[in-house]
Amino acid sequence: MPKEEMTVDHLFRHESGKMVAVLTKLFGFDRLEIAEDLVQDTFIQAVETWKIKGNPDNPQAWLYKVAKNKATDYLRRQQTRRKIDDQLKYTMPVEYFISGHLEKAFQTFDDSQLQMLFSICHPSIPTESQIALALKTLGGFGIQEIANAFLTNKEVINKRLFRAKEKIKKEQIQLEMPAEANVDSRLENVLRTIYLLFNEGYYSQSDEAILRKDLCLEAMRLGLLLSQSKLERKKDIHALLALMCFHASRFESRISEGGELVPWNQQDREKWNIDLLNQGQHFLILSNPGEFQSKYQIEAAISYYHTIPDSDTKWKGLKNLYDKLTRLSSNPMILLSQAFVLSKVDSPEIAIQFLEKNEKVEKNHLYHLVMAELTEYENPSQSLKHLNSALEKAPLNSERVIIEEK
Amino acid sequence: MKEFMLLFRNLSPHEAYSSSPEEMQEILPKWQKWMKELADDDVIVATAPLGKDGMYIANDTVTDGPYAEIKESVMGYLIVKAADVNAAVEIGKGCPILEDGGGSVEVRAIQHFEA
Repeated sequence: MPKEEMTVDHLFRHESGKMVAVLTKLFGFDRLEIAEDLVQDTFIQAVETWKIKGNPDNPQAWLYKVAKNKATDYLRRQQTRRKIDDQLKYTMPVEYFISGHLEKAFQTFDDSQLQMLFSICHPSIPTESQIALALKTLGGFGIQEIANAFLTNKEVINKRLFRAKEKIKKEQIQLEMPAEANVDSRLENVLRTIYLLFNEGYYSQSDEAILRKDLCLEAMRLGLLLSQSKLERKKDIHALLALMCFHASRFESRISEGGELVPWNQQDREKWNIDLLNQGQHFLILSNPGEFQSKYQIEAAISYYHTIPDSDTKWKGLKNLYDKLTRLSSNPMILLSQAFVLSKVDSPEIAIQFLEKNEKVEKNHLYHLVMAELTEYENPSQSLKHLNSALEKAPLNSERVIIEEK
Repeated sequence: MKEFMLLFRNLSPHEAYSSSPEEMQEILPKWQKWMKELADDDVIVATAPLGKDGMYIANDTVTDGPYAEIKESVMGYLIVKAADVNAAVEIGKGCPILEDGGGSVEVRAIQHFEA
């Protein structure tokens, strides 16, 4: 890729989200599309201009200035100040407001991005639309990229975005922080969206490793945005960040040189990212509740345990945490992990009984893999059977390779 | 000013590397606080915690460490600048490893070769 294009690409990822947020704040949330178009235009103009004239000394300033001019033009054409910030509506002409404030707003973007994040996570917008919209408007991801990440096509993503924008208009959702009384419950939604976004990147079945990592990084960036905000209740924000850091520290070690997934207990610890581990510990300490109570706190503590060497303390601690977690929420993945911990603390037999009597257990390839491991010593032929079933049901090529090795 | 090496030992090396999240939340800030105080006083020459795994060389054999059998092991070190051994001991007394009664700190003067 030529250098100019690389720069624009990089800038787009980093700048477009905040530019869209600032402009949408100015135009009104119902005119999100116009803000997006305008930012897109700005970048197209950048590519064309820079190709001929070379990169400007300060590309960001260039972008802000061009976007500002386009915004001024647009508002002038509109001949209305309907959506302009109420405080300034009657006191200042449009041009004055924009030239004085917009460039500054682009540089101190955090507030508008935060408002955008909270507005996107409005309860009346469906979750999958929230994620798509967050990726597009805040993360600067392209429709095709979002489609690739979710293993679907552009039409589906366009529909999800359309549904979100319809809701914004219909419910007249404003680009603002929710009222004091609703902040906590909205924060729940925001955290869930970030959590899902991260998981999508981390566990995605898409084979595009770089894209998946970008999703995770975007989730972590949004988490950091929250942690640096003026919000008061940050325990869960910090717990979620700790959780993401611990997971992300294994980015490099969980994929082998041949591109296959490596189970965490077989990973080369030397490759774990120490900085991210330390960050994880830092956020876990900040989330300090004395006792781990919320879903994020418990999951953060669990992922912390996975970063330390095996010991009695570890397995007993994990058993305790999984007991707590399943009381709050449970899914087939959690049950399998719980069974694995039971086999370490109690015995493989007890773990097998636990899985067999639990109706919620899904008999997918992961189930058969765990069963194969639990029966490995006592009943090798049974174990082999489970391995074969796992092989049949594994959806990913990379997973099939590991199973075959066993 | 002389230099002294402080060796941090723990009685149960194996368990020491696997603290629960609750313990970690309690212990780590203490170390951070202590290290910050020492850094503010500008007495630190070098310091690092040591990882769990290591190799053990003795009598022509190399093993990956009989850590399960040995009673205590070195968890980390700190080299400080101090006027004399008593001043170095005073620094060592602040070490969080002493708090739960299982750990110890050994203070040794560093001998520089005469040029």
